[in-house]
Amino acid sequence: MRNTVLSAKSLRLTFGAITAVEDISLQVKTGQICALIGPNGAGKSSFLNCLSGFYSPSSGTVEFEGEDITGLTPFRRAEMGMARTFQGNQTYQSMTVRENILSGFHSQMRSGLLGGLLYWGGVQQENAHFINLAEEIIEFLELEPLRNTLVGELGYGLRKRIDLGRALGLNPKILIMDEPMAGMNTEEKGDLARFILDIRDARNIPIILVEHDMEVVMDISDEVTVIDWGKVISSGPPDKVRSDPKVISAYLGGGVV
Amino acid sequence: MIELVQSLSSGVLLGLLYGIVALSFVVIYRASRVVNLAQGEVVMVGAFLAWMAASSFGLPLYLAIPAALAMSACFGVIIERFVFRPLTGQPIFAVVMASIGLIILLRGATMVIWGPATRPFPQVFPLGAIEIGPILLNTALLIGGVITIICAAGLNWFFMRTDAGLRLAAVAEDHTTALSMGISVKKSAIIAWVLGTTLATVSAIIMLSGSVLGVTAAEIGFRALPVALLGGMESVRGAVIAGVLVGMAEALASTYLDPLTNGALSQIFPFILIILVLLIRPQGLFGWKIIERI
Amino acid sequence: MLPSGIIFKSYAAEEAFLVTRPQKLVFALFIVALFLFPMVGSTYLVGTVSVMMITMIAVLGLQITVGMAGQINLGQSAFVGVGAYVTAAMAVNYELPFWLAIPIGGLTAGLTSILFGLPAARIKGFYLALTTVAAQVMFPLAISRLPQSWFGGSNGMSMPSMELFGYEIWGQTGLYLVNLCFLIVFTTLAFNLQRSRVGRAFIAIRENDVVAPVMGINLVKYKILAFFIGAVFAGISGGLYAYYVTYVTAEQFTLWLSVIYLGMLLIGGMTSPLGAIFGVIIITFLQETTHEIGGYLSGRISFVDESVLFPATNILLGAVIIAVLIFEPHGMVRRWRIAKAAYRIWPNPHG
Repeated sequence: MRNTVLSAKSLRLTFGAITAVEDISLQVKTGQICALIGPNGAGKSSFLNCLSGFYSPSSGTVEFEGEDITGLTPFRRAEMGMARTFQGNQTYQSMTVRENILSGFHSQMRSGLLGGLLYWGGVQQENAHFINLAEEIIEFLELEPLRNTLVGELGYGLRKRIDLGRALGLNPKILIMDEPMAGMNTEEKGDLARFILDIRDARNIPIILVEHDMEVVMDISDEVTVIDWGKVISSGPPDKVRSDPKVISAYLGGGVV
Repeated sequence: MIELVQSLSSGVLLGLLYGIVALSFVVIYRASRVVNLAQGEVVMVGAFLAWMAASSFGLPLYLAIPAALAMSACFGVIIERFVFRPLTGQPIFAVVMASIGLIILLRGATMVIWGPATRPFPQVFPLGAIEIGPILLNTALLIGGVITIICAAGLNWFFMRTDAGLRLAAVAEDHTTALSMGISVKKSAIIAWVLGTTLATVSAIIMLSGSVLGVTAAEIGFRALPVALLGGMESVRGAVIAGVLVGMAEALASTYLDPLTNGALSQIFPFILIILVLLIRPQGLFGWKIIERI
Repeated sequence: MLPSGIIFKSYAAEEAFLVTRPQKLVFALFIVALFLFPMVGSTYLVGTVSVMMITMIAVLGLQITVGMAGQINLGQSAFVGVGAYVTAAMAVNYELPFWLAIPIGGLTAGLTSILFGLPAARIKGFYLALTTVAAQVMFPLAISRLPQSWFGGSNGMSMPSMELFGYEIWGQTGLYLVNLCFLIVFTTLAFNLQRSRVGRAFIAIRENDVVAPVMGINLVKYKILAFFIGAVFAGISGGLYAYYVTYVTAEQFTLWLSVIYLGMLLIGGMTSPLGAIFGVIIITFLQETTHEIGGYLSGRISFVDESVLFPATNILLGAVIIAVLIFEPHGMVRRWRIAKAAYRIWPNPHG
């Protein structure tokens, strides 16, 4: 029996008169890759933003490891072990690759303002310890030659990888990925898919994945949820969802039956 | 009672002066998303241009004012072309820093070109005050207030009802989208700056008519910025309404509270207001609430 | 970029600023030279350098708030003023020694800044700059309206001289040495902060304040912290300044000065404490040179005098700030790094 790590119960999000998310529920269990798909504007990103606390839902609850976190701020959720990656380029451009990943360890490190100013022995040791951990992630993501390169100088695909590395720095209990493969070439997509599977298998971190590339989604996910017009229209294992007539009609542009 | 009405009505007139300076912030912000911290210095330069046209060139007022407005329009084009256009697409931080550079530059340039001495500003509006019953209203500020309201109405119509005005807002929202819609980003920015600098000069004339001109004229900038902020940086209507509110509150503070605080409160009032507005309603009274995305 | 052949045995070593022996040696010699400088410099020069060092501490603080954390601060000179006045009050009213009065001034300045950093809880972006303008405007009014027995009201305050172990520190040389010690300490602190967890959080907020909180950074806390620490540096600088000028008035701490501080930081480069140091040197050099040239020219050309030259410096300064933003957003620090790298790989341009 697998534990439920994250569960969203009938989330609803409105901006004025616009309803971005009408009613979405989702459950993610340990060691599961759970994909969220749907046409553009279906409400996927808004839903993810509710999960990570960036938007607060108009109604519904988010539970993380059995605790209601609906009202918590993003940084509190991050401290609890909820990590995510972002659409597009959202890395810290003027930091090196290693500093980017190191910044993910923020909530696990303890040194404060005074420690930072004085940089005495204990703080140095703490820094060195977490650099070690960051190096493990660098190794895992095969970024060794680039560890001291400024992220701003790197290509798009690599930046997405660093974004992932930074999220791993949070030592997450769940990882949310928002369109990680958008704009990547086939080779980069292959690499990333491999990393995602490794993260699930080696680290046993469940993953919520929003992605447009259907082939990848169907290949790597354990559970697929299809969203249209802010509602779940189908969910289940990839094979079942693939043949669902509602899904087909949503993707072909027909009205939802 | 009369004291209260007198204080309030003077406050309204002062507020309308803040309002027109705030308007010059708003038009620039609305069309180019630039908060020009050097707007006070722009007002100052406008004032010196008007002084130059009237006193140095010796033009009669009906020629001097249009000449000053034309010169300030050119001045706006120059600022846009050489300072802010090259920064298009840069983070807002860089833009704000550039406006700080502009403060230093314009102050220096004014002192070099016109010298640091104060001088009498030409009397554009009649001196003195109009009596309405027991209430005295400063004539220049009263006429200025009417001008402010006319300008605001005109701008409101321009932004809300004309194609060109609506385009300006679209450009400010998103440069890329605007470009794809065939709207010229460059042209909109130029319009914004021309409007902004001309309005600044108008406000300078209202503020200084028959009074003394010096580099201290620039101080109006940071006094009017809270007004623009309270109204909402995008809102033409808001600038005027907030101007009136701030003017009244300031007048009340100066009549009733200053005796208690030795004259300090009315001077810092707009700045206390900044902090309160930012704490309570950061988008201002009529501003747009921005939904952030990631 | 490092010379080839440098291999780090530990990550801690990699974090260090001075790596090779020649580097350490040159640096040590440089520090010694700084201490010996008053023996060779003229009184005027030593005084100028003293003021530069005091300014550097304020700009270093600004570098933390603005450069590291990306929060525009237009009120740094007000916080310098708070530091100066509180230091003066401590030294005059409570007869505290300078090594206590100055830190108290610094901390008070920091605490004051928190008041103006509070709106950070609600707003993002540049709006915070406006609250610092508010600080700047309120400062002189507050000083002149507070009871005269606290800060001397609008009269200002006269400072006693510094004393250490019963000996009076006097003359330009004495003050120079004290200022130098403070500068060395605070430069070290600023550099330390940059590579620490807190510094990284600051930089993360500067780079992307939308993402940083999702990565576990408490945005409000760190923004306020950035204001606080920047203002502490300002307060320290103010305390030193009070002892240096021996008389404090509210007019010494203007919005204009805050603007100039920002200009210094921008020209030097905002992303490193080194930028603060460079910026102060460059601007002071510019001002002093104009001063010299002005003195030379004013005797020969009729319309050139102080009233033209000082503003002319500002035209140049403003234009350079704008040009730096447009053409070299990283400031002179980047040029310095490029030059350093070029020197190391010379004579093989491609390394």
